Amino acid sequence: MKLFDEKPIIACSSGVETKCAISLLRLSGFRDIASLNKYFDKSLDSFVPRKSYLVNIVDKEQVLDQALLTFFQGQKSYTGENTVELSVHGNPINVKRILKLFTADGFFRLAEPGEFTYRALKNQKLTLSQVEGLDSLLNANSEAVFSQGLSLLRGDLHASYLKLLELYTSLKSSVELMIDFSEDIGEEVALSNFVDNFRRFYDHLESLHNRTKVNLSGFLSPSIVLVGKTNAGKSTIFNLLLNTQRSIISSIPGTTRDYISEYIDIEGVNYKLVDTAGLRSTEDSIEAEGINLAIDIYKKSFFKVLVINPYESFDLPGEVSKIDFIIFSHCEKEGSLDLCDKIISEASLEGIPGVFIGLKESGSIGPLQSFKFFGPIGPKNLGTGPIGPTKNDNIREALDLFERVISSRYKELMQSDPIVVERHSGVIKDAYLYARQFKDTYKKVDDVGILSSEVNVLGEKVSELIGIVSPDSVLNNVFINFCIGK
Amino acid sequence: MNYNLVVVGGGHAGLEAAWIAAELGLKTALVTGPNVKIGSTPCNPAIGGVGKGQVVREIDAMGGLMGRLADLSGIQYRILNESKGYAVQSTRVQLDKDIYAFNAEKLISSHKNISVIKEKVDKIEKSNSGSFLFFGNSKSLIAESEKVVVTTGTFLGGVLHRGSEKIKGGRVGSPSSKNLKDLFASVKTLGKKFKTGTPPRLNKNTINFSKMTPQPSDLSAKNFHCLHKPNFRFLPQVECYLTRTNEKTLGIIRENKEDSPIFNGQITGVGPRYCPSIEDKAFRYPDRNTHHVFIEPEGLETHSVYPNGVSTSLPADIQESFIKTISGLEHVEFLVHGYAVEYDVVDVTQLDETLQSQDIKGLYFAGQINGTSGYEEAAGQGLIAGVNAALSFLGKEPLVFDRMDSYIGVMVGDLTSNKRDEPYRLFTARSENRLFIREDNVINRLAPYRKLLCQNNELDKYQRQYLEDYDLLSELCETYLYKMTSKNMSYFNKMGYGPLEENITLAELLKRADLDPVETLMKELNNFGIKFLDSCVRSVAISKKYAGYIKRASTEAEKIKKLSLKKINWEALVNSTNISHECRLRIKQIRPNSFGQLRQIEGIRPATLAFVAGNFI
Repeated sequence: MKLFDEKPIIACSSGVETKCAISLLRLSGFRDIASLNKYFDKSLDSFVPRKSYLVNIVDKEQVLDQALLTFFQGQKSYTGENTVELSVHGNPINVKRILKLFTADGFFRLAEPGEFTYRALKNQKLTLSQVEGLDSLLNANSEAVFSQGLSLLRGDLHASYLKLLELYTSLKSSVELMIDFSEDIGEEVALSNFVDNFRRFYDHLESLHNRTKVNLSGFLSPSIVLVGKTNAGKSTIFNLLLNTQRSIISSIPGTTRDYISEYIDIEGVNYKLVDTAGLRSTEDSIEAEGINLAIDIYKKSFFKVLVINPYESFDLPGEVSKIDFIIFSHCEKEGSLDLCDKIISEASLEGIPGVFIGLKESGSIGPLQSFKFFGPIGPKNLGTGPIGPTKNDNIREALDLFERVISSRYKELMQSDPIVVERHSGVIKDAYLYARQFKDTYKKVDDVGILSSEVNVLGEKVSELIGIVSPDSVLNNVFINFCIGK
Repeated sequence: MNYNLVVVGGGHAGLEAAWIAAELGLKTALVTGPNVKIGSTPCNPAIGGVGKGQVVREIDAMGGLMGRLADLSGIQYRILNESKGYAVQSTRVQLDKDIYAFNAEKLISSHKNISVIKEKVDKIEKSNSGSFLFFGNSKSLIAESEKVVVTTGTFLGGVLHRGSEKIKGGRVGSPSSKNLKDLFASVKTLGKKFKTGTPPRLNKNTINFSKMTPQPSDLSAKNFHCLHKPNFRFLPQVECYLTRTNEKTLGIIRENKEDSPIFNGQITGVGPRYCPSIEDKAFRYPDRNTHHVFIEPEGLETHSVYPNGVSTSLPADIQESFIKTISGLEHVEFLVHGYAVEYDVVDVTQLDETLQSQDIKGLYFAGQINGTSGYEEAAGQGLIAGVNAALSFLGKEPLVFDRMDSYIGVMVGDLTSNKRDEPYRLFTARSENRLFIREDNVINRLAPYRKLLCQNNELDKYQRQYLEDYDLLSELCETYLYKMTSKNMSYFNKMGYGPLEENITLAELLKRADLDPVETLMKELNNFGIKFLDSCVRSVAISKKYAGYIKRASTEAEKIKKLSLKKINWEALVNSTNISHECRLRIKQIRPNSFGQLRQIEGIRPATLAFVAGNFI
């Protein structure tokens, strides 16, 4: 990382390129407020910190803009230095002109990306984890990342890591106890003390690890994937869900060779809806590639939807498992529901929520109203229990069920409080893997020297999590993708 | 009257300092009080222990005395941590105290370069010519020297406590010297006293040993001195015994809290937490009622035994009543009652890594006066101070031990880099390189230092021969290959070495998890028909076994070292609101300048370290 100097810095915190009503400029690191007098039409000496004043920004007696100025003094600012926030008119030309005024005489320089936060860190206003949290907040694409950012800023997650470090310290002490003091306290006491301490450490690490288990990419931009055999009706349903007619639909099996995706919004969360190639065994290498891709996307997806045509044989590749939702298509014909029941029981699909839907005329696409909805199948985990199929022409009800299942699944995941900061989950996984291996082997190791060496390796990993071992590289990572002004 | 070096004090530090300086050719005087034994062991009757055994062998490899003296007076040997693998094993020897002191005096006074002066030093001054002048009673000049090593133990400013009794003295029966300030006005003391204690001594003829668990001497333990036959015993061997305190014992102590000088405010000095008195145990661990008590003989002839684990400064009558509740001690007779002693300590951070005062050149300190506890720690420092006083006198480069290859190096590094506020004792945990700093490879570790002394004694010849053998055998292990032949495969099977699935070297065989490396190498050499010294075979085998782990530790230590060297501003830490109140107090007391020093402060919470690492460096 570039080592920043201590010069006063300025940046537009609300973005320079976009037009908006108000832009916020931040100035940090100047010695005293009076040193800014030259840029304004009023003397700032008497300004009370944390109160806003209306001022004119002047360049050689020419008024550049009218602005609202707030002064934050020393330790009580975000950076821990004297800071001024200026709300100016949001025209990019105006903003650029003002930035130029403050930097032209060399009194201020433009801030590097992340430099305000760097100063906050340097002046002990934030801990390293909090900085990472801030990064998460500012770059959050999903609610989960956003709330994790908040948790880091509040220090909750950091506290949990410190707990791990404390448990590790106890574990390490118990090893030292075995070596240096076992005569004083007795061998059995020393050993059981070690076993207890390891268990406590391991349990806490495991609970952290459980929070990293979520499929991170699937979670950060959650996707809903439709899979099923060729011609099961995936594209029809894809279009139905989007209420558009984008993908090529024909009755010749196997037309969606690649995949097609679109974003849909369900209860405020953006999901990527993906239509995949139909699954079947094929000689066509291009098609085979599409099928492999489909399976790959399926595995990584957040929500897995299986589309089944009850009139076709049901044999899916083994990779298609952990199904979240089933849609039985082609259910408009008499007796189709019996076929569905048969598939459900033969393939042990009971308990997975889903819907039966049918088209007015097989194979053709009509307007939305022409879909027949036969009611949900067994959405046990929604608390309604299995409901027998009922005829209903209102497709909205089917869609509601579909969306409800997805949202509740997403909320569940949110509640598990996953660790989404990639550096953290990486280190935790690494530490956990080592600890699990250690757990399986340590009882067989009667050489305490070797045991202590292994415990030291664990300690390295724990320290890495908190940033003791290589704060420099950790900082580097944190600051690389920072937006200007924070 | 005129000496190159004067050593003040005849304890373990003084002995080593005087001996090694004399070996290097300095005309040396050992000045000790008229009624104080040379080489006495006033507390527990044992030398060695976990980590300390390594120190004794390090001293021995440098040509010091402690190992020889311990062997000559050893009456019970033990290998500590014997079941825990080769890397963490250490030797401890119980002593006949009188024989130890007898041999110490005999050896030291027979050295042609050493004069023993039995007089009390009252004042040390620096003359105009820069030499040190030593004055005794009524201002009489005892000696004059270029260099001085002060090893006065607990004698400076010593106060003994037993109940409400307070006596000036360094130990029972010996009057204390003056305060350190009176002795040498310009030396900085730590500003507070340290405290240590000792248990009562009991008459072994009044003990019922049948109620206790005997601990016999271990014949397989090796002598400390490398030129002694490893398993030879100079004296008849005896047993120690294990018994335990009980609820009644601790009940009596708890009822008499107001009589305990440690807890009623009479003693203000800081005692070692790792060697607590029985009062400490009773009050600090209220849930535990049983503690080990080892009954250790103090010699073959004497009736006196040392009950290890019940150090106390309670009044004599209370000592008697609680001791008599312990199984086997119901009718025991007291020979001496336990007591605590407070004493002055030097501010060790003003010493350099040769233990020389940075302000007063030529003045060295070693031993308990530096705030350490333990005979071995004292002796190790005595060696460092003595060697360096001599080298300095001879105009040669100083000798500093690296903490990565000796416990003496660890100790001196720890002592001189950081202020502490409790007595310092070596633990293996203090080393970053524990798997390497072992007893078995002491010659590999220390011979390079010994070589710098340019001696050509029997010891040096032995070390040269040993290292030649070692290198040869080590090379053999790396190059000898077991090819995947059916003959070798069935041989592996027969020997229980596990499968032979690819060509492996002998060194790789020794690394196998389920094999005892020493036994395996012995068997293989036997099979080849090659004979090496047992100690050499042992050390090579263990080194091969731990090679990977040692490499890993040193990489990690390198990282830690880098981080430890980072400077911190302690004043900023003291003002930080993110650090707990207690931690800030400790930081304010110790004033650490680097992250390494901060880490070493006792009682600093991990959260504080994490915070500092993340925000300050």
